[in-house]
Amino acid sequence: MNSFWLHPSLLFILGSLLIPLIPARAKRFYLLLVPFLVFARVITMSKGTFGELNFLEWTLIFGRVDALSQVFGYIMSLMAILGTLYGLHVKQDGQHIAAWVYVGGSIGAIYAGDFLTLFLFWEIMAFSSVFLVWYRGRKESLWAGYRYLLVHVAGGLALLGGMVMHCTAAGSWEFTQLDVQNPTPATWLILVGFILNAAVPPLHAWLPDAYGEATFNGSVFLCAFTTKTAVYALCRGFPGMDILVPLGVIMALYGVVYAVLENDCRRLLAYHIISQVGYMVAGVGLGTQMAINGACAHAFAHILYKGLLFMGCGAVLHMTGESKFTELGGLWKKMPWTFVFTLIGGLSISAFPLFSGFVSKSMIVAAGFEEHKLWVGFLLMLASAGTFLHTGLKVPYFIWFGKNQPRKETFDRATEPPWNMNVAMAIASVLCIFIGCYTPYLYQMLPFPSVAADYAKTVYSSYHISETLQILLFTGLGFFLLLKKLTPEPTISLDMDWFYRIGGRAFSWIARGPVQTLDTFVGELYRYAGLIPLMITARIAGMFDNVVIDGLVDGLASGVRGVGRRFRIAQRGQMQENLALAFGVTALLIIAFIFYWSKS
Amino acid sequence: MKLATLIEFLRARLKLVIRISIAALVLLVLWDTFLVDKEHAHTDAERFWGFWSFFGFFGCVAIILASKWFGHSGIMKREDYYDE
Amino acid sequence: MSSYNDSILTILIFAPLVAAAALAVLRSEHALRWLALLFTTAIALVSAPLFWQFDTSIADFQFALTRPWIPLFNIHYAVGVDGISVLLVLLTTLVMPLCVLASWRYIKVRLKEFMVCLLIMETAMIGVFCALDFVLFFVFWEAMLIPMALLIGIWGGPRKIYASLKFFIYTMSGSVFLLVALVAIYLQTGTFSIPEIMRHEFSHNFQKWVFLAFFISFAIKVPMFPFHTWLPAAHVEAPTAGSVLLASILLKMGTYGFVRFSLPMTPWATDYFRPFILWVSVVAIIYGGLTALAQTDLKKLVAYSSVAHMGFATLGIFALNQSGLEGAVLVMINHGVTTGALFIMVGIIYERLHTRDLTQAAGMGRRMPVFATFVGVFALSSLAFPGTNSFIGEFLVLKGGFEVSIALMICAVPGVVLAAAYMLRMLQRIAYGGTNNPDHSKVADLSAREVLTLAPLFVLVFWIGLNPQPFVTIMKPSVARLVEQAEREKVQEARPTAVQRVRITGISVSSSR
Repeated sequence: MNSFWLHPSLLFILGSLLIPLIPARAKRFYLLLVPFLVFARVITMSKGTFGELNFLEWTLIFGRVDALSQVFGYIMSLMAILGTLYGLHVKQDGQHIAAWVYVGGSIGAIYAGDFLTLFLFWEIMAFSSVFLVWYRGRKESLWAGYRYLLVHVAGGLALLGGMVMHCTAAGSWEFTQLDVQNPTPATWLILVGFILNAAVPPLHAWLPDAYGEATFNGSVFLCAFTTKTAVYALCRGFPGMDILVPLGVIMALYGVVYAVLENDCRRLLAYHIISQVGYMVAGVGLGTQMAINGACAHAFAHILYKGLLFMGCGAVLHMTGESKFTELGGLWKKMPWTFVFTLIGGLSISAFPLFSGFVSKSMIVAAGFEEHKLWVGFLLMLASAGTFLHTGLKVPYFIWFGKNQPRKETFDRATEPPWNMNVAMAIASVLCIFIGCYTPYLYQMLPFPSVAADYAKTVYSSYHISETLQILLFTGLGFFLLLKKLTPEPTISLDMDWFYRIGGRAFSWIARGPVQTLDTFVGELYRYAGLIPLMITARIAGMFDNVVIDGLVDGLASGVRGVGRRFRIAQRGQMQENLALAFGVTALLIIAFIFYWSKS
Repeated sequence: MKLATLIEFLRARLKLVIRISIAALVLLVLWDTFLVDKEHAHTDAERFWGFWSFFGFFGCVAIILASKWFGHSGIMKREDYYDE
Repeated sequence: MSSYNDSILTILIFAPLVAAAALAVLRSEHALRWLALLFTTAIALVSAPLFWQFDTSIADFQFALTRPWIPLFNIHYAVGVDGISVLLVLLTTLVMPLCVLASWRYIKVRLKEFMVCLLIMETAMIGVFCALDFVLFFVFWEAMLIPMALLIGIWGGPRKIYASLKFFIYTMSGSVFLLVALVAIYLQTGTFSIPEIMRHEFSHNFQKWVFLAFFISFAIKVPMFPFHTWLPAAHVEAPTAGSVLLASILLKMGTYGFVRFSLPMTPWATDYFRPFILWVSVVAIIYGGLTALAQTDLKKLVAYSSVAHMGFATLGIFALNQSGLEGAVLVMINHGVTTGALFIMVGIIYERLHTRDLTQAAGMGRRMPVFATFVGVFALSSLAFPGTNSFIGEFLVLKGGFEVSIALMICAVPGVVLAAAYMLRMLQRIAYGGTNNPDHSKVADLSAREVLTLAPLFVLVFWIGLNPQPFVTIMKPSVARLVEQAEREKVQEARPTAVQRVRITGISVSSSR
């Protein structure tokens, strides 16, 4: 690496650290300036490999710029502008810092050329985005954030494990396409890491959990980045991996089913992300050039319209304080423009002609039909019907119309959101329509532009328009006929998170109960098995010492004294007589001694 | 707001709006049956007139019924289920 | 400079003792503190050139000095450092002034005796890492026990006598086994010189018993599960400086013992017992994580996290390959830095709130941004976030472990998730708390002295994390030599490693299907 290559993430991360130092008057300007600079940097970057760094015995590549990473980098930096604009009036610096570090992490992962760098940014993304959940400040937010973080740490470790195994075997740390025909355990582990971030069932429960609980503007950021970075990683590493096709289709339908049951509008949108990402995952699995194009195009469009949808529902949450359908209704009088924007988002996601979803989602379905995987095509079309059902119809209807009357305070509070939120939504809406109408704008950015250009000729064929309109409008018919069945119920739906939430409680009980008891037991064991027997032995020894040995000695001593007392009676008063007695005894003893010695 | 008055205008004439929508649906099926070039269709079933209309309508009904059945079979719980 | 080379280690070992003597005659508390700080900082600065002057191309012991001591038994005063011990010596000299700073206001009674104890400990600790004669090593090893027991027993918390006694008995019983091993080796080889013993070949049976003796003694020190239960008690009751020394340096002596004695002297037995020890290490990682998760006492939480981290160290050591050993040495250094810093921070909390309870400390970070920053960085380092020092260490250990057995690593990895769980819980509680935090409005943010105490550790977290090359270079030849020594009597034949097995499976899959 000769010259310094300015990584766009660096701008975001450094820029975020400076936020607290900017005076309040200049803050709004600064908040808009940095994302613009990053976007400008991204679109002026030339293709190639940059930012190589030597670290221990490996080479880290921070800047791998090609068509695939550029299309993602483009839309992500664009979304960062819109997201920051949407949240411009938020006073807590921490939220902006977290959001920017998060986007910086995403962009860093997109441009990472080797696994270690990818892992670094992967972790940065997880740790910064959790703050967007925690800043909501409710008791549930705390726990939702923990669950989110722990799930992502576990996924990151699966990725790390797979990486270490794969790179040790392959001898290189470069992030290139993995061998999808012969997957090794390492490949599976890396795949698990990627699909966890992409929220593929059964590893998806963190998404509705966290995204429904984040701050009103935090969700706008969250919906755009983690899952799409994972889609990028899948495009880069696993194109053509067969198992992704059925997984993607199941995802698409799974999200639709749960969305029908949801009472909270933002959780519904979160389940929707799962549904839409299912299209992208299926596209990656199909692996043809058109399918990859479709996955990228759909990701591009999805970031925009999902952001728009979350902006709309976020506005409702911000202004009324409610996000549940059972608490809302009839807001068309108070927030009509929010309704229009959300509706545009809903029409985009449903792939209405003239909107962005029409030109992106259909590419994947067409790729499915072209590969003669008919069931893929038809099931994805079914999911499209479901998509329009809730996002295009249910959400706008039950929030802005509907028979349900919200509480009086809720209704009184509702009013149009501040100017910055409206402008952000307006720009996103315009882009959604623009992409749908003028296809070369998006299609030229895709990894295989010539294939995309071919498709562009057929996308607005009358057949396609007719097919789409029929599905959507007749779905609408079904919606209005079955309206009573769809009335929102104030419930929650159990999902895969049941296992680790109840499991987590059991786990915590194990950590607090049996393990602690065991530890205390072992800790005290040294006392029971060691110290106490030792002290008992010591006391016995002491007793032995006192009673037996000392007893013997004392006994001997008192014996001697006793004898001495007796002998005192034998003593006469005069010294000569005592001396004579003493000498006499001694002489007797000596004679006896000599006698016995000579004998032996 | 002009938009609010527009919506109010439409709501006041709800029956008319509904009639126009149904007419649009019928026109759509007719257009599909007679005028649309079905060369791009991938399967024979799609050439059937109004195929996608049925697909959309029955698909929607199927999704609603299946999801509600799934939900009411035990997945949907009261809101404070997870609270300790 | 050759005289510097010869005498530097001796100066480092005995200078603290001289300083202790100098302090013994002082009366004023003010003078005691400042002089202790001056001496320890001077010693740290004098030791710094060891880092730059270390010759990274050879694996022999450097800065060595040998003088006869007790010729009757062939005991010498022999000191020297290799790539591994030089890093540990530098860690010791760095941590000492920080201990003095951390105890500035914490110790209120018998300050003179406290500083003297600290300095005697420094002598003993540096002596342990430098000793190249077994008897000298043992003398320093034992010499460290009494000042530590005093540190806990006099200046400790409510149950200080209990904790001090527990620490003493546990460690002492371990040392007995060390003494037995020492004598046994002398009887076999006739020398106490460590480099010579390393070259000796012992019979397999002998190696088994000596290894077990070594193992008990060092495993208590590390501390390895299930000999670890003295650690939470000792940490909780010890004063801040005591906890820092215990965590940063004393625990490393156990792993250092494995590296310096078990691996090169009893290589056959090392390989023989290796699977058992590897699995015990994994158990320690998971167990330490689980128990840490259940704690509300901050010191106990960090103490159990030490059990888990040292599990990684022993895992790396007994992987017996270059990556694993490098990772293990890095884990030792990193743990010293990070856990030392965490204990200093707990001490800071205690000085302000007079409690170590996590629920009482909730939300402190909201009013103390500097404090919150430090806690955040050290907590991230403890859970091995990429970019911090611990990530490199654990990464290399994982890499080394994968080369030995995939099953092992798959069982160890959840331990990292546990580490994340309890560290995040601690960090989140302290920094932000919940919805009803206790009132911390009167608590002041970090003073300049406290920032100064934490600053070198803060710098090291990022220095080692972002540029570990210099540290790895220093230890590379010594680690390579160690791997050579440990592998010279491998029990099993080179069976295909897990990595090779994967490749072979790959080929057979495509050809047999």
